[in-house]
Amino acid sequence: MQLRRLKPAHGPGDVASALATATCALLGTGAPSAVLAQDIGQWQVDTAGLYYSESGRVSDLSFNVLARTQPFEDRYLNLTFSFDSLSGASPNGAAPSASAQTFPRPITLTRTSGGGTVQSGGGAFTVAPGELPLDNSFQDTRYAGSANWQRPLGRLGIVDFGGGVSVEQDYLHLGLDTHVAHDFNDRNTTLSGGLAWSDDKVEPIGGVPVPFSALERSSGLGWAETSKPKQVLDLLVGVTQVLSRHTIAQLNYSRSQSDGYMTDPYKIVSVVDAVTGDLVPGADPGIGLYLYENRPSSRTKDSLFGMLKHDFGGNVLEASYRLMSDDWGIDSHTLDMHFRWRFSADKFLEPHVRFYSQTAASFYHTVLFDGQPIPQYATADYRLGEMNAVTLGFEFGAKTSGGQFSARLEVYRQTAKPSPDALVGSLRGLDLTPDMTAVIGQITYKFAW
Amino acid sequence: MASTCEVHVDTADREDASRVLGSVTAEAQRIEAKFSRYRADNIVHAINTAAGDPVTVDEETARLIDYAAQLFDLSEGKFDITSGVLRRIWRFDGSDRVPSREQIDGVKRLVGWRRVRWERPVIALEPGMEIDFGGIGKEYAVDRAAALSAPFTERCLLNFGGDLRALGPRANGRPWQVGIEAVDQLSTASRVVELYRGGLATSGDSRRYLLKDGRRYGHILDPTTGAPVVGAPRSVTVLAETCTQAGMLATLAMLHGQVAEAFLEAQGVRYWCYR
Amino acid sequence: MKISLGCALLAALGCLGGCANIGVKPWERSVLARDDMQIVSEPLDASIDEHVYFSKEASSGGQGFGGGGCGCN
Repeated sequence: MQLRRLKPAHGPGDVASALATATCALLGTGAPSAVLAQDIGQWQVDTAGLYYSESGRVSDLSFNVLARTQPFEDRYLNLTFSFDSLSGASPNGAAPSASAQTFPRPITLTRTSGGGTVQSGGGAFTVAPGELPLDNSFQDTRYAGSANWQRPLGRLGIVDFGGGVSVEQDYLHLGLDTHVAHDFNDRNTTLSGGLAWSDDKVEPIGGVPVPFSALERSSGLGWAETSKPKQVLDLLVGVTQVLSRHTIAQLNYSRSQSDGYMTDPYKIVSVVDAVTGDLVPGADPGIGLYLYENRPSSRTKDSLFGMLKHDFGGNVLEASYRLMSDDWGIDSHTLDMHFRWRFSADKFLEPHVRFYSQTAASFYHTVLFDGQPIPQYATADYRLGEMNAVTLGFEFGAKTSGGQFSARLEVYRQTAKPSPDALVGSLRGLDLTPDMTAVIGQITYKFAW
Repeated sequence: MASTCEVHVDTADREDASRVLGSVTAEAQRIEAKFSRYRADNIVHAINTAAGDPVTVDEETARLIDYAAQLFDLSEGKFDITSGVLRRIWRFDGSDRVPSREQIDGVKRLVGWRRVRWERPVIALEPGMEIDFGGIGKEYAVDRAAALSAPFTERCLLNFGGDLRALGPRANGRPWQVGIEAVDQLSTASRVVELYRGGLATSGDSRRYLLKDGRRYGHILDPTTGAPVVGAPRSVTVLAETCTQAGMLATLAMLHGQVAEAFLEAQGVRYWCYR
Repeated sequence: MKISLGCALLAALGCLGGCANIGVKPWERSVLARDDMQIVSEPLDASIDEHVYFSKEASSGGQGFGGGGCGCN
């Protein structure tokens, strides 16, 4: 972190070094230590490795980097990169049944770049009675990166521009965003606003399923569409206020408008008998009736977020509350609290607790009933159903000679509720939406470069 | 020192903190008493009232005079500790009372380091001339007081009216956050420097100036013209190893007037210049 | 619920705008200048958490956005 010396100009000699020598003689203390100050051009780098694992289900290994620098006076550049590798078994949307279930992997045709077609799929997997159907062929790798450039706007404001890309086997995301912020009241109040635009393309493996078509061995052969677009426009306005020497608060309102393909192309909904709750025969012999789900092509979300941070003599309490409501009928509450306890000058322990609850989407149906008309939209994805979740975690951090090291361990437990009308016949005795428990382990290392 | 002096110490040891405060206060008061031009009982007064007779000075004063002499050479005559007499006609109180050409010429003939006879440790001024350590004194006091704090703790920051010296960062390795005042708004820090170690000094006219006919006269005087430096920046802040170096570079930059930035660029130091 | 949310925010903003005396002087910001007192003190953790909860729940964002959508929900 040495002060960067610029090339001296040609001239009658370096005044600064003559002055330095003269000052040494004046002060009589010998050569002073070099200046150490935050210099332009230095990078602050945060790196983190994460392991996420749901018991019996999906796990994810990811690597993330955040690098920040000030390349010129008052100009800041932020770069991020992340890599995720997901694997494991994921619920396919079908509900548990009193009898064993068999799910074919549909034969699908994928067009290759050479102009030909490739057939994939085939085979099937079975699920024992009472168990939640999980498809273990789930595997994906994701690469993402973003860049953000910030500069002053007037004397008391800033503006920034950013862009991001995320690439998976079946999903491509491109995004642009911009923020402005302005300080008032002796820089005690900051008003900010932001706009973000996303242009995504979903390219499901095997093609885009026809909504509500039945799952059968040959279902993929009839799918004409190979990709679907989705656009999202986000707006955010907020105010940050210094409340005291030790307290700061923030209040944000945001609105998100999504248009396009929001259906999960791999998820199905079970169709059962309205009285007995048993599976009804599907298209192929020995297989139940499962229909590909369909979600609306538009979603509007409103969120209100508030946060408070208070310093207790070097220890920091952070508490936030988020209220979300959308036109899919989902309302959610999130309460998140962290307490950073600095028990020594260079180490901390930070417990963390998070409470989350959401109501079900209006088109969430754990199962559909045989003989009843198929609704316009339906999904059995428990992530859109009524659900509560609790996260409990601890983080330990310590300064090292080069930077800061920290490790955190969290447990995340989700409790979902099936649709009230799904508990018919044999389904009443089953756990249609079993709890999910995940363990999250993360190691972070931050350093300057 | 004509300004608030502070020392920030980051320590859990009350004894250390009070020793540091004690030694810093004592040193600041000692240097003030010894080199202030407003006192009638110190070496500066003796030199200035000798009316042409030689005066023998002590080791510390000799070093300061040597330093001033080197600065005179390095600045090609623009930094001159005999230019203090110009203060008799230039009072920077925000008013429009700018002295006339005749007044300036009358006082200018009493300015000129070349006319001082300095043969260490004896100094003799021509009658009517004065020396003034105001341009060096405060920054020198900061560094001297810092040196006396060093045996107790390195985690301290001294701030004598905007002239700073940090011996080392705070207890958790975090830097001192120093705000650099923007010249147009006297109370809102416009830039924050994260200082781990080093000296920071500012030369500027935020508070002391004259305003006449729309022209702003900064308070840094050019001894060769007897008037304020033409085209000087409103404020220059420099970061250097010691407060004295930072202060001298800031003053020298101001004396370079229009080409202040070019001068600072050529020195390869971190600086902030406002116009 | 959307309209009442918006109203609640505007009322809150109005309140804060009127409280021009709340706050601190520039020389009282030593605690607020600390990294762990910034509104977003751990940006990397925040984006990792956001990604996990976005994949597992129906809500996202609130404090910021950008950082990429993904095919996980």
